[in-house]
This record gives sequence, C-alpha cells and structure tokens, in this order.
Amino acid sequence: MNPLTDPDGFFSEKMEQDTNLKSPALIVLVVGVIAAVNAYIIAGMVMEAIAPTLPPEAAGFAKIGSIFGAVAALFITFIMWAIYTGIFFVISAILGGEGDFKRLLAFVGYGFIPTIFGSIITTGLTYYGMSGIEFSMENPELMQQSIMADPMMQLVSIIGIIFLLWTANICIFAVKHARGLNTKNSLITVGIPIGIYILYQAVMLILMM
Amino acid sequence: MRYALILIVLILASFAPVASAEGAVCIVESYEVNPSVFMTNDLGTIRFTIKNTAPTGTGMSAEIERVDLFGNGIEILTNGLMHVGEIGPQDTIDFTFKIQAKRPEGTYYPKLLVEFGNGKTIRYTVPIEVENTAVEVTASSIPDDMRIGETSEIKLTIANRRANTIHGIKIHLASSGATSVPSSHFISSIEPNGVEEISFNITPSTDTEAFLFETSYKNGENYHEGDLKVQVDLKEGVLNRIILTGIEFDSNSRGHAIAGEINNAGEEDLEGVMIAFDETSEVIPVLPYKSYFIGSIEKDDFASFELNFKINEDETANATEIIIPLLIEYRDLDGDRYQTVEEVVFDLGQRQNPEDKSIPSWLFAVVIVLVLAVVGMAIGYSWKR
Repeated sequence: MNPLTDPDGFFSEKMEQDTNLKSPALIVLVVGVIAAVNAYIIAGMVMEAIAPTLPPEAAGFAKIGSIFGAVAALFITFIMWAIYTGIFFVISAILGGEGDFKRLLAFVGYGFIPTIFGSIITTGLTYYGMSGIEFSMENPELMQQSIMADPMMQLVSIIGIIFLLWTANICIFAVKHARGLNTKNSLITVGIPIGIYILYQAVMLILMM
Repeated sequence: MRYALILIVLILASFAPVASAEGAVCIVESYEVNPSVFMTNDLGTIRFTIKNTAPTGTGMSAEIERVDLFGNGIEILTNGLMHVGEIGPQDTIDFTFKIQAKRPEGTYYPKLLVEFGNGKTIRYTVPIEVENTAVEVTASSIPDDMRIGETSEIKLTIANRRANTIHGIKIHLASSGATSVPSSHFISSIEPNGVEEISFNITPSTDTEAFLFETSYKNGENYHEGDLKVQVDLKEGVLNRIILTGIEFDSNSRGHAIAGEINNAGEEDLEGVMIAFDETSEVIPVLPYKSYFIGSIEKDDFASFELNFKINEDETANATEIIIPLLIEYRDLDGDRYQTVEEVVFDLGQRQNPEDKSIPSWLFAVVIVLVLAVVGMAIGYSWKR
C-alpha cells in the first residue's frame, strides 16, 4: 500500500501492526535536512550580501549564522511534526476521537512524504530566485518585502501551499485511523488548522503581489 | 407712572414664550441661528420650533393665526405667515426666516410673534451676534535664502479667531511669476480658536518683493475673502548646493539600479537629505529602494545612494534613451525645506541584458498547473479508492 495514493488502505494496514516510529522519523529527518539546506542557502546569500556592511570582526560570524540557520531549520521540522500531531490530537479528542498519541505521531509522520518532493522543488526555486534579489541592508522589513515581492518566491509559496494540501490529505486518513474517527470528523480535525494556515499564506501572498 | 407700568408689563410679556390656546399651551421649544455669528451683510436663517405641550389624546389643538419676525435692526427677508393652521397636542411646527445682518458689530434682538386663534400670543426674542473678526493668515516660516528657479517651502498658519466655526477654507498663491505645489490648499472647517498650518513649495520664475496668498472661506453660506502678502528677498541664480556625481547604472533580471553620490557643494550642512524618482511615466520605482534616505551631509562632503526601477515598456517602445528626473529634498540648518530636480540619462541599450535570467510568466503558470495536476491526481486517486 502506498501512503501517497492510497492513504486509507495504508493506514488501515498499519493499524494491524505495532506502532513503529522509525520510518516516520526518517521521513521527517529527510524533510528536515532539505529544510536545513534551504535555510543554509538563504542565510548564506543574505550574509554574503550584508558582509560588506559589517565590520571585519563580525564577518566571521556570517558563516556561523548560516550553520545556526540550518540546525534551527532541522530542529523546527521535528518540532512542527510534534505540533501538528498535538493539534490534531486535541481537535480529534473534542470530536470524540480515541487512540494513542504515539500512533498518531507515527501516522502524521507519513504525511510529510509529499513535503520531501515539495521541499526539493522549492529549494531549487529559492536558490534560483534569491540569486537575483537586491537586498536592503538598512531595513530588515524592507528586505523581507523584497523577498516576498519577488515572483519566483511567490511561486515557491504557491507550490508550498499545493504540497501542503497533499500532506493534509494524507493526515486526514492518518487521523481517521489513529483516532478512530469517521471521515467527516477527521476532515474537520485536519481542515481547521491547515485551512487557517493556508488562508494566512494566501493573504500574505496577495498582499505582496 | 402708568406708562412705566405698561412698559414693565410689555417687557415681561416679551420674555414669556408661552401661550395658552383654548387649554393648549404652546411654547417656543428651540431655535437655531445659522451662522451662529454673523458678519456684516451676511445672509442667514433663524428656525423656530413651536410645540403644543398639551397631553396627547386631550384633543387640545392650537390654531396659529399669524407668525411674524420683527428685525429690531436685522433685516427680515421672509414675509410673515397668516392662517397657518392647527397644531395638535405634542406636535411641533418649524418656521424659518431668512435674515440679513446689514449692521455694524454688536448684538441685535429680532422678535418672533406668534398669534393664536383665541387671541393669545407668544413673543420671543433671539440675540443675533454680528462680529467682523476675519480669519487670520500669517506666514509661520519663510526661507532666508529664496532663489529664482529654486523651490522653497513657505509655511502659513490659518487661525480662526471667530466665535463660530468657519467652513470651506481655500488658500492659493495669487502672485504671477511663481508656481506653487500644491496649487491650492483646502481645509473643510476650522473650529473657534482653531489653528491649521499648511505649506507651499514655491518656485519663483521672476523677481518679486512679495508673494500674495488669497484666502476664501464660508461663514454660514456667505463667502468671504482675504489675502496675505509675504515679503521675500529673492536672490538671482540657483545656489547649486547639490551635485550628483559617479552615476552608474546596473541592470539584472529584476530591473535596473542607479547608484551615485550626492555632493553637498553649498555653504552649510544639509539635513534630512532624501532622493527619489520625480514624477515620470517612463520609469516605475521598485523595491528595495524606491527612494533613499541619507540624512545629514556635511558641507563639502558626499553620500552614496541607490535607487531601483523598471522601465515602462509602453512609454519607451521606440526610445533609445530616457531622461530620469531625480528629486532631491533637504533642509538647511534653519529647518527650511528645499527640493531640487536633477536629471540623468539612461541608455535603453543597457536593458538588453545578455545575462537576463528572467523567466516568462507563462512558465510560472505551467509549473503551477503541472504541480497542481500531479497533487490533484494523487489526492483524487486516494479518495476514489
């Protein structure tokens, strides 16, 4: 069974087995490594651009900044895994769901598989897009606006949203089986937080266009 | 003694705005004077509201025979009314009289007379103030060093020292031989004792000793005008405080950038220096530097700047080069604001960047559609099963 094309059957089969976090953790680790590479590239480009404005003694910290960004991105991916699972656990509990948190954590981990493909595409586009952006070093807010207003970075956001929908689709079936909910309630459980996040992303995207 | 007694009775009667008509008691409930304070020759209105205070359901109507207003110095332009009709219990009726204050400053007391069918009357006196204090316009800031051909900021203060609100205040530079930005200022209203400050960026083109500003405003519905002469000492020739040097253009897939130095060639330090694109249809300012704030530049010093822009392709289809006007704003040490426009020429050949990495917008759409199709198919397939 393939979690990408038949998540219902996949999780149904997994329910008959003991909870195993190894595979989901590996999936999240792969996503985290790609996020770390992405963060390293962005931080490196920003540091390179601001290096001439920094005093010589501060230039050495530029490299450290990039590494710090990469490590933080890796950890944040694992934290996001736990947060997603926690939110789904709480909402599904309100809707009458029952089941082990560890099993839900494992199932939600499989939901990160589409993010691997999405992250590879967006990392490539980010690298391409960032290389052409002029940064304003005096105003961090202006720098953020410059990045967000770039058409390539807007494409990255749109692709990110599309892959997030795929992740959400897998998580619906993950919640359905791990928490013993019907399809409608698991759709509500996943739809509320992911919907709010996508709405926020869409509003930010429209504002920057 | 007898005449004195009659006079006292008459005076007391005039201060009692109450009349009983066949049991009904009518009063002047309220009145409204517009404008609340007149100027000599102003036209305006007084609106009286008469109310029958008899309780509802008693059927005690009051029949109004006559309503008239006597000016006592104020000219009444509306004729009195005869046989007005009945006013029912708790009902009100309004009477509006047009008046004109053709009098010098002072307080005047027009008197309202309302006669009822049973012979009872209301006499009601209204004070009308006439005050000719005009709106005061003063120059609050005039640059010491104004030059022909150079833009300088003149600030004006408009004060309303009248006892009532004035409306529709408009002020503009009436002198020929100078242009102003904005061409006029409009202020919707100024409260009593209110003050508004406005500023004009003025560029004299010929020598003059003074600038004339004309003001108009409305007191009620009456237009009034005033003017202000601002004495200036214009000097010949633009003082070339600002010189741009080292102008370079850079182009990439995101657009173009101008970089250069602003030199302070004047005789004093400059503050609040900012450079931006002046209004032009050929250039579109873009982030990150639509404008560039420098701050202070000391005398004989310089500061670097950078501006980003895109070319408006529609406006420059057949052009080989375009002139880009750059607006530089700054203050001198007295705080007076100045602005000057420097033009730079951009060779449009530079936009044909061989390293242009820009991706056509249709490719974005194709990528989104492809990704959407793959993800959509995967999601759709998962629900079918």
